[in-house]
Amino acid sequence: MIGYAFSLVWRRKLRTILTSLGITISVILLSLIIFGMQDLQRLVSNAFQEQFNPNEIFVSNSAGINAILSNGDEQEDSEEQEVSLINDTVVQEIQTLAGVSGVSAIKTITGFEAQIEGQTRAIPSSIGSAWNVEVDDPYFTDFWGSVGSQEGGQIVVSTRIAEAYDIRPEALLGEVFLLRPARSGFGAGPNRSSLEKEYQFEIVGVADPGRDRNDFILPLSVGIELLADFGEFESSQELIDELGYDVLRVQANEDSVAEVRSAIEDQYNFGAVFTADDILAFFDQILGAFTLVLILFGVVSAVVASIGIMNTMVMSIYEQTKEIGIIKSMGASRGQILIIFLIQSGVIGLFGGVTGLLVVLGGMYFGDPFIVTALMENGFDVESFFTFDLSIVSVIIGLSILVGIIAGLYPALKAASLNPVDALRSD
Amino acid sequence: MIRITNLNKGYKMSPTNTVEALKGVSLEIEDQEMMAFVGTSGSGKSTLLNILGGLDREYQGTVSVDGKDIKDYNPNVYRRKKVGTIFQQFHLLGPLTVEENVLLPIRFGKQYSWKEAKDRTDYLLGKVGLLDRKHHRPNQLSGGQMQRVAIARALISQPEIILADEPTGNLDTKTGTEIMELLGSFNQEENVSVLLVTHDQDLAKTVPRRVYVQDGKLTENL
Repeated sequence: MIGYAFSLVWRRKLRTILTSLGITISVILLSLIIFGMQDLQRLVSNAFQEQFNPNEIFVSNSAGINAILSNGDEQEDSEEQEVSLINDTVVQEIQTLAGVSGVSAIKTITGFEAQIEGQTRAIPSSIGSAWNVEVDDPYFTDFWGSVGSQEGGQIVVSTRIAEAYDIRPEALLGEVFLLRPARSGFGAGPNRSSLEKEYQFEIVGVADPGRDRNDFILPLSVGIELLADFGEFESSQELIDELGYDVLRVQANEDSVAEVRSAIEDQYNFGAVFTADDILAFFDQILGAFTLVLILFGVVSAVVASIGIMNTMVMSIYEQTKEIGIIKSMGASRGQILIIFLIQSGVIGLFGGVTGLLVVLGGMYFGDPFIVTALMENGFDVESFFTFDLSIVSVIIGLSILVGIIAGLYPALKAASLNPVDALRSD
Repeated sequence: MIRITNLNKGYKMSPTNTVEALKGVSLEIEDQEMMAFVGTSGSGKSTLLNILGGLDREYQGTVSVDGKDIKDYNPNVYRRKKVGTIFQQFHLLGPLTVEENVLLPIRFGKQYSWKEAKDRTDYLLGKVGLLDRKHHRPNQLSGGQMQRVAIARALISQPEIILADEPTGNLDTKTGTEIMELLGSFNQEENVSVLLVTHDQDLAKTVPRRVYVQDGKLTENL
């Protein structure tokens, strides 16, 4: 009987192949989602675990970060209460909180264009940070040179500068780095006289910031001094008292992260207080939403494919009505006819599933090196992107067969319930 | 023995119009008997054959085989083991070979081991003179050869009754006569009852017992 069912499939091999294409497409979509998204999630998670200290709490008054990490309700609440300024007093207060082992402040430096002396073109709209950098900071995936003196006149630049000038990172050491107000951003600067200012630094270190966007890093005091001078404040202290720091990195003891975070949130009203887990959760949320949309496409294509199978099977019944009558007259039971038709639709599902998986596995095999290269160019340290999972492959093939069988159920029941006399009389 | 008692069968054409195909038919058929139901088109002979073949179970009256009402048999087992059916149009399955067509009823109920089934297929194909064509497909055979395959298929399960619906209707006279001779020989050798339906009076005369069907009633011509 099984052999007979397979002979029917073989007899209509072209139709089987064409009908199974719908399943092939949905398997390709769903497999890419399952394999690709799983690997993307793993990659992001690993990258965060490598670069972010799980005991670190970030306090930020940066509008961009707040917009990303806060939801609408929280924003409404924060509008009612004035945002706490991150000044030296706040830094000292947080330092004294129970469970806090260290606090470092960061000030973002924007509105400048950067240039290596001797090079003909400047890099417009550079982004830098002022913080007390250390060579072994986990933010850096690589480092050449040293962090230099805290006294000023020395700077650490990122490998982005080396890339912009197409120079090896170590070749930048000792070069003069110039910062000037960005012409393109004029209007954000305080006045015309600011345009004449230029700041010179000796490059003492080159850091690979991974996925971070910093072009240069100055010691905190030097960076604030630069901003105060540029903004024509009386002193660095005045700038901090009026504008505050942008971000605080609060180191908490391993078992005190939640308590410290809670204490900070209770005492102050910062734009955002978050940990690496929050950022990871945010990315997971984005990936989850993206995955959901792709899954929806996959499911819709599976539904369309199953309608195609159903249509093919109904057509088969019309063509095979007399044949059904013949085999019923030979003693085939309803159950056996049901099985014959379900085998046919199941084989369509199986064929579509296997074809789809072969396409996906081929794509994974040949596409992996390109994806790995692209990821490595963007600072990810990966050996391979896609991971082959036999259990997922088995589930996909099983589901393909199941879709085929479910789609074939109605036609199979229709075939099984045919009256043999009427079926034999049909043309 | 087949015993038909007061068999009635009607086809409802509309809520108020029912066509009576069989009207109070009663008949007894002995084991290993060869007989013909003779009648014109629409007389009810094929309806009778469908009921005897277990294909049509919607009727009034009783039809018993070996003392048991055929409605009490499992319909699939009855069709597979008790009866073998031969059709005017042969009804062989085109994609299957001659051998596979003959083996078809065995696929739906394992009556023999596969080797025994193959041996019996070879025996029957040898008897109908087509052993050397067992790997051919039906479209490579003549009408007479296809009907021979259909006879072998009807006999594969060693049934007690062969039902043949106009078995020579699509064949020329010479081939039709050969088919009738073949059925006659199987009637003797396989100890099987052969009940055939025909409208051909000449063909019917070659059969020992003839029952005439007219307007749903039987008349026996002894």
